[in-house]
Amino acid sequence: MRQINPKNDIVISAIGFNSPYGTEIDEYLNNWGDQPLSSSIIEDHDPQKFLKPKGQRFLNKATLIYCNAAFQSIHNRDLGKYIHNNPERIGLYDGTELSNLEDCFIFDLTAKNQGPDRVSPMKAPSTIANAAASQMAIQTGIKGPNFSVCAGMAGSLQALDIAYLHLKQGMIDYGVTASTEVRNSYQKAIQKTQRNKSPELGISMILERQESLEKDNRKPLARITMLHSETYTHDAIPFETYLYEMLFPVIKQYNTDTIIVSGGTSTIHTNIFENLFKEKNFPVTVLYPENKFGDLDNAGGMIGVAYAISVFNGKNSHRTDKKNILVLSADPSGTVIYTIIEKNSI
Amino acid sequence: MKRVVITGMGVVSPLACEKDDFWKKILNGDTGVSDLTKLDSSNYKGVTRAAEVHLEKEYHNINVIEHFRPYGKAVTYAAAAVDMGLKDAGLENKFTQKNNYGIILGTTNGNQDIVERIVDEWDLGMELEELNPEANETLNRFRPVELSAGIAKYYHLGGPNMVIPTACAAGNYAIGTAYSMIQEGRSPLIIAGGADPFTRSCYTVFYRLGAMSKNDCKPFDQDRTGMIVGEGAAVLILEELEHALARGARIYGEIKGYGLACDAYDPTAPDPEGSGATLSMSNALVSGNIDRKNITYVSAHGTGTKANDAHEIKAMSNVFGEGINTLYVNGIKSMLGHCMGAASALEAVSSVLSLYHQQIPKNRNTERIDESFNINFQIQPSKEIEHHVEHVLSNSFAFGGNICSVIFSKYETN
Repeated sequence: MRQINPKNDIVISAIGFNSPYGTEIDEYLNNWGDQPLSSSIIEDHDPQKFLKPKGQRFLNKATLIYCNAAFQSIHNRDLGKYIHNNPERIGLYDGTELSNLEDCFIFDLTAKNQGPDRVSPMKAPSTIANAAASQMAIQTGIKGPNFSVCAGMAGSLQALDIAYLHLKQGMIDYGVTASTEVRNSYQKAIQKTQRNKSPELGISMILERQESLEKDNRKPLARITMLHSETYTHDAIPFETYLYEMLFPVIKQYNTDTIIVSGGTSTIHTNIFENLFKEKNFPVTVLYPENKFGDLDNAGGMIGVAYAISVFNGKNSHRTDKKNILVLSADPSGTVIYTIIEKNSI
Repeated sequence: MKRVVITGMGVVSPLACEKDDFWKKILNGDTGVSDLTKLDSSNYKGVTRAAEVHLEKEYHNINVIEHFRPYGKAVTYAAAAVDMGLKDAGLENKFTQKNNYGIILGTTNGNQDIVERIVDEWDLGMELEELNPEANETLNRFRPVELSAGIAKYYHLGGPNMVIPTACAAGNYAIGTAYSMIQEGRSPLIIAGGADPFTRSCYTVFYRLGAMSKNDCKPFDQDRTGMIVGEGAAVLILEELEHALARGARIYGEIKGYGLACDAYDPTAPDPEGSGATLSMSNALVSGNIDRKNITYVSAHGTGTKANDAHEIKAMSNVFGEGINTLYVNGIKSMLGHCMGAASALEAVSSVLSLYHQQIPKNRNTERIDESFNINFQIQPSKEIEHHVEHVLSNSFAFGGNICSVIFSKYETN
């Protein structure tokens, strides 16, 4: 049995969430997947009024949703005072991919069709994919690492991994990690191949060491035991076989019976993937939250982690008596990342 | 913690598209800045200068060029830099065995040229139009992950791949992240750097911010008038020391540490007090366990804008105290322009070659330190540091206050 090491163990201590159906993630995961979507658009990006009103009109929607979700997790973990006293010891992380696509089009269309003098320089930051985490730093005064990362549909798990790495290396005490999905016509054009349309959403998680959580007499939502990323490059092997061969030893090592594929489900032939386990008589259940909630793209990985937490908490129809769940995201580019999420047993 | 060394480099720059030529021209004080050819400058009111790359004139691996032609320009630039970097490191051109070698690239504009290709090719107007299937297909290449994953697939790099879009600090972010991952044993070899294409949008951004010079980039000079938009790519082949030694690799230098920080001040302007830059440089020194007195020189972000250079000098003064008086500050954007996400990667190559060859680039166009700084520092290398290059601290700053400083050091066997 693995020993808990409070100085080294990285835990998830709080979640923030935003969707067209409210800001309660458990309610969202339990109630909304089975119903047809009436709207996929977040009408109120900041129902709690966390954001400073000044200048909001220059921010794109991904930034607004990111900031709200990040503020929620900071609020839920009660980090306001720590941020004030130690702004350099907190990092902001964004798993992003197409958050700036619409801004890139509008900016260039204006420059080309109306001339460069008609372009608003205030809109310039939104054309770069670091806009959301940067704006959150301005809103909160967080001066630690400000890190945006793109890994396609593996983006949010990749952002979690960077925060995890920074915590492991002692660069930060808390990692505020978030990812968003927004909907617009340009994104639709890219996402034409996807099977299920998901609503807009934002999700955020606070990562920290077990030690800091214990100091505040709090319990973790779950523990991140490990993260690993790879790239599928050898087309001679089917993608599903590659995934199976990569995951099989990990599943055995961590004694799990549950895989959650979230972020890039549409890139995997799920029957072929599951049959590989069945052929070996290996008892594993594969869950696909995106089949219920729509393709979650770069935010999928973090939603998958939240889904794992809902299983551990008994707020999910799936049950397991194992301590670990594997969450996997995979991008059509071959970018793959997985994490082992451990149930809080304290 | 594992040691991380540099065993190869690849360069695609406005000065040269080959590492040794690049270094020769840097030492000569040549310039890659000239009149703009990739965009009609008539709407830009006298702003006509750029630092452009003309890859196909200088780089002749037709397989790489043709394979990446449908991708954004940054992908082609980066793929060419990786090709040259792998050869420089004495590695296979394409790996045939399963491996967990990685690639991490930083960028500002990523594949923005794909958007512009669609806007131009299908003559899009301001009204939102349904894109035709061909345009949709092209738009798929916009995804930033194509930059690292496309190259990983081509060269069969089976380890981690990601793109870090932290604008003009992105190259250093990529190098720092690769360093951390190798330190932690995630991979024995990661290709890290940055890439950016020339785009209409990028030129327009800096034009509208009033940040561009109408003549030359003169970092820290009393008469500086702004920056020059550039483009390019550069990569470092970073290896875990034992992995490099086991294959008898040439070692150019070592990474000793890096620091990340954020100004948390403004989306485009730096904090005049240099708070983020001070923190980033301090973090780098602490992580590398290096005394500030042992920094041979600083490879500055040095864009040549009033605001950037003033805040960078303020931050250096905070970090080095009175030591700044004798500190040499080198800014090579005077020769390369500001190559955006590639900028700090190109500066990394210059820093590492400086350590390897024990030669120091001189400043071009910087003649008189801005009196408003009220701070003195050295604008040309002294005889004391020439041939005694131990540690170079390389700064990079970006929109959003994203900041990363990396320390490159001379490789010592012990």
